[in-house]
Amino acid sequence: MKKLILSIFAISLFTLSSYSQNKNLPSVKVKDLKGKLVNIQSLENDGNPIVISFWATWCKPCKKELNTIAEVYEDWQEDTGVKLVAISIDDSRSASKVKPYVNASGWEYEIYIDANRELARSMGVSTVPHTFLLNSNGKVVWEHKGYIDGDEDELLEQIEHISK
Amino acid sequence: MKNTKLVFGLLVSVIVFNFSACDVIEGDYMTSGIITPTDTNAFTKKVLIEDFTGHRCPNCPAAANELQALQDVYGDKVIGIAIHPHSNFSVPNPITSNQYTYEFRTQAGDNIDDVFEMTDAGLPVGMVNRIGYSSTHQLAKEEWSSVVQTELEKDAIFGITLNSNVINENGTITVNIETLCDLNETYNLVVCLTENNIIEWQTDNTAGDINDYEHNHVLRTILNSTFGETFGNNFTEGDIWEKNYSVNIADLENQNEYYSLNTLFMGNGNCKEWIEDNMEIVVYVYNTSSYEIVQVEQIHLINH
Amino acid sequence: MKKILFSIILFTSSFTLFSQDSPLEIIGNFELNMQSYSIDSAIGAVEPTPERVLNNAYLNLLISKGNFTGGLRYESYLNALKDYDPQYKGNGIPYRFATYTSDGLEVTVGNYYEQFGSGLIFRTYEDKGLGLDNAMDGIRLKYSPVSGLYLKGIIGQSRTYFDYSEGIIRGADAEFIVDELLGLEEQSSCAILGASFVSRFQSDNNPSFVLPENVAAFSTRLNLSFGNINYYGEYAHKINDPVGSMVQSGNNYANGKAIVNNLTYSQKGLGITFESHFVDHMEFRSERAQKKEYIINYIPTLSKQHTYSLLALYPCATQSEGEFGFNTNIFYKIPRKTVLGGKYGTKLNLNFARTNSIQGGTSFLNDIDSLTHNAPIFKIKGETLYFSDFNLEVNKKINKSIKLNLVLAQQTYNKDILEGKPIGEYGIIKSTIAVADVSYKIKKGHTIRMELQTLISEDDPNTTEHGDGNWHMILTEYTISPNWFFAIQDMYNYGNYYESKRLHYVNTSVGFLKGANRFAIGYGKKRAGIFCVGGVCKEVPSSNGFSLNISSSF
Repeated sequence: MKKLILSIFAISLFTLSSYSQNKNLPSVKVKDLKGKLVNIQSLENDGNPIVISFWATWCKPCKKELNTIAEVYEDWQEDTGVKLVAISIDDSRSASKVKPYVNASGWEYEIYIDANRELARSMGVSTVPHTFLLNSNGKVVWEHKGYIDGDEDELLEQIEHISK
Repeated sequence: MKNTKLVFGLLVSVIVFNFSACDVIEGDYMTSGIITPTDTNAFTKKVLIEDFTGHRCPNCPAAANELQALQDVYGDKVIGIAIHPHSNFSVPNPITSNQYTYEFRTQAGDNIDDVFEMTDAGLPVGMVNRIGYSSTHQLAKEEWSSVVQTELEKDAIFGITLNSNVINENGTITVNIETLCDLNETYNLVVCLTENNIIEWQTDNTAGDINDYEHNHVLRTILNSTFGETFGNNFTEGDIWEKNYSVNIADLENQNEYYSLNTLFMGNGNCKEWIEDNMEIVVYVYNTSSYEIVQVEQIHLINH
Repeated sequence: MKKILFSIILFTSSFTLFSQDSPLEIIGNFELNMQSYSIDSAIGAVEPTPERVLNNAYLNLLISKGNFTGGLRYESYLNALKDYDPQYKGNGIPYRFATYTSDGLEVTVGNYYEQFGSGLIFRTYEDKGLGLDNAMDGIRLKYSPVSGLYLKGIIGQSRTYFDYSEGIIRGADAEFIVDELLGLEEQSSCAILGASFVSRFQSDNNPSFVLPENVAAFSTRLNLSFGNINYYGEYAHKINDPVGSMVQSGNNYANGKAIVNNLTYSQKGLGITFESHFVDHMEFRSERAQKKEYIINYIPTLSKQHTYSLLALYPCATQSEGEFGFNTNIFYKIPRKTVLGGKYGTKLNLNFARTNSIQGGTSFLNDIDSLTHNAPIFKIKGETLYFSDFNLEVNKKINKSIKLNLVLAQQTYNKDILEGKPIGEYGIIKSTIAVADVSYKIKKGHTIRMELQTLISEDDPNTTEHGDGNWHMILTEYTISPNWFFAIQDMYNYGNYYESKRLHYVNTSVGFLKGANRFAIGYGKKRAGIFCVGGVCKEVPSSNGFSLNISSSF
């Protein structure tokens, strides 16, 4: 029975894989810092690139990435018009710390909380950090897992590439 | 638009309906009487509970209490075997120590544990007639009573009669199995010896280290190999099958000692001097494809 | 029957997907973890692993088009890694679902994860790292009849390994976002109210006790956002939920309750948090019996989630039968160009967490005993300490090349309670821990990072057993952006009471990352540990061998 389902699925997958494979944002709701529900598809940036970065307050490389970008974020915004949306996967153990941590760090990003990892699952995110770059049509053109010191340079290159 | 109003109405009624779905039990939590299943045959259907335990396992005395409570309610319809598989909870201290020096582990118990993967589920854990193999047979102690109840409602398909003439460490056990209805599957029988009233150390999470804990139903050995022997694969009602097993306690003790000293981690061989008066013969019959135990019987090793 | 129906839905929907208006999307991710185990009697890895190599893997597939999304997950445990739950065996598709949204109503059939409020009465989720997955299998409805009111209804059974537990779970949740509901303009303050209900049905087969077949739990919550201040409070109540024992003392008919109170303040450069919870007999499961795979609620521990190994050596686990805990944080950024702040500013995080027992112990009720009480919800003095953690973290960028992170911590850990050991065996272990983490940028893209950690431990003087004693740890990591990392670490238990246990646990790893793919190979020894999830702790044996990890998203 399992094999039947899997083969039907595989067949549909292969026959239909000729279609466009660009990832779009799924229609999933996340919470903003006030606790209100916001549909992630409603994100917009006047046709400029959007960076979506999944992080958590307990994830060292995530904080390193976002803090490093925070230092140059203003310049990035001036040059490319990019907007960075940081989505925290902190669950109720640490979700209360998100807003105070963000404010104390002085981040200017748009922050959302994906409490039960619904959005993360819908976008194929299993570990953090996981960063996506969306073009002006809201399609994912680049993604990257993990963070190594210096990765922000590659991210900037990719942003500049699509903002031309 | 009509559809969504209907769904909304359904949703609200589901919510309202759910609010009425809770049972608050007041006062007297014990039932007034027990339901004793009645049997149509001369032989009663009995149930075997295998309790996997360890003398250093702090939550295990609670499981032994659970087995005792079931025996208090169902009498001799519930038969127990306590298996101490090799795990962190059964390792003994060297004989020179003054605590936890008893060796409860046996080859038979370990073989059963390897197949049914009981220690993987964490101790204490048990099986009731090995129902649910291979995914739902590992039952927490509070799950035993429900399965016992269901099992006792079934009719017995075999009747086991046991006789023992073992005197002074030697003798013969006679196992007689009568078929109670037509069957065409393969069944094996397993002949075990267990011992009650072994007074040794036990850890308990409320009482700490107990030095005079009464260990009951401890599996000592299996006379005819861990998974028994086939006694038939096509049965007609009324068939009788009988076999004798010779017992030499000294030999059996030595086998356990050998296993402990040569195979087990920190085995100290301290598993001899069995007290025959406290021992029981437990025989069970099971279906070789589903592993389900269909009948079990127990008598004292020594007839007084 | 369900499976046939599901595959028919999938097959027919794959035909409708041929339409051109919205594109078909297929995404997913894959992960593989493999580990080899060799016998190493020095570290206590004496049990031979017959398979030699153990392996966990999974593949998630999501297919979406327009308002329809479907997906499945294939998992394989052939056999599960030693630090994973060994009851995960074999392989199969334990997760499959189809979701359709129409006119604001979202319907999901099959497997889903859902959380009500903060999860006090209901949270089904998955955490592959911890081997936890209690996905629901059934139907979920989500609907927002008016702006500001969000309703959810669920029914189903909860996953246990490759099967589902017997209990039928029904529930509903309503959330009211007050200013949206009243049609007010975007305000600086915001109030959100919520209420939820969950009930479990399981038949009563116990011959000696009357067991409730429908056990319900309720909760109400409030989130108030007022300028820089945020308050979140939740109250949960569970009715009688005895486990179904045959023994009088095993069945507890008392009600359960849990109260959460969180208060935070934040402004630019400063954040203050205060979180507390009071828990009394509040574990909610998909079946009566006390098995960890049945737990369907979530009461997180209030201690800080540490990532440095020695700080996480003794992790706290919530005692859902009875616990009071609180956690407070101060995040502060010393402004740049000040004396203490330096050129780039300095970040501080001061944290204090503590959990202890509740007055009088867990509520208990049966025919003989009655210990239902109104324990004060905030009490520390005189209560048995379970865990405390006082730490300060300082993060400072020295110059363009050097970044520094320092942590100093003082922890106390009641090993008997937190690890379920007999009382009086280990008692309370105190540790003082210091961590220094320095990273140095050699040139563009090349960074070397070094971690030095030390833990000084003090056993409980009134007990017989000994904790692990003192540890040192050193880690060196060399990274080349954007693709490579190399690391070597050594954890040395130099202060163990037993000389034979004063061992070095050396481990090396190399990794390659490109885009959404990651490969890592490691070799070395891992110390035995304790893994706590959802209040249940598991002892993980020490191991020695190779490890391989591959993860990829598409």
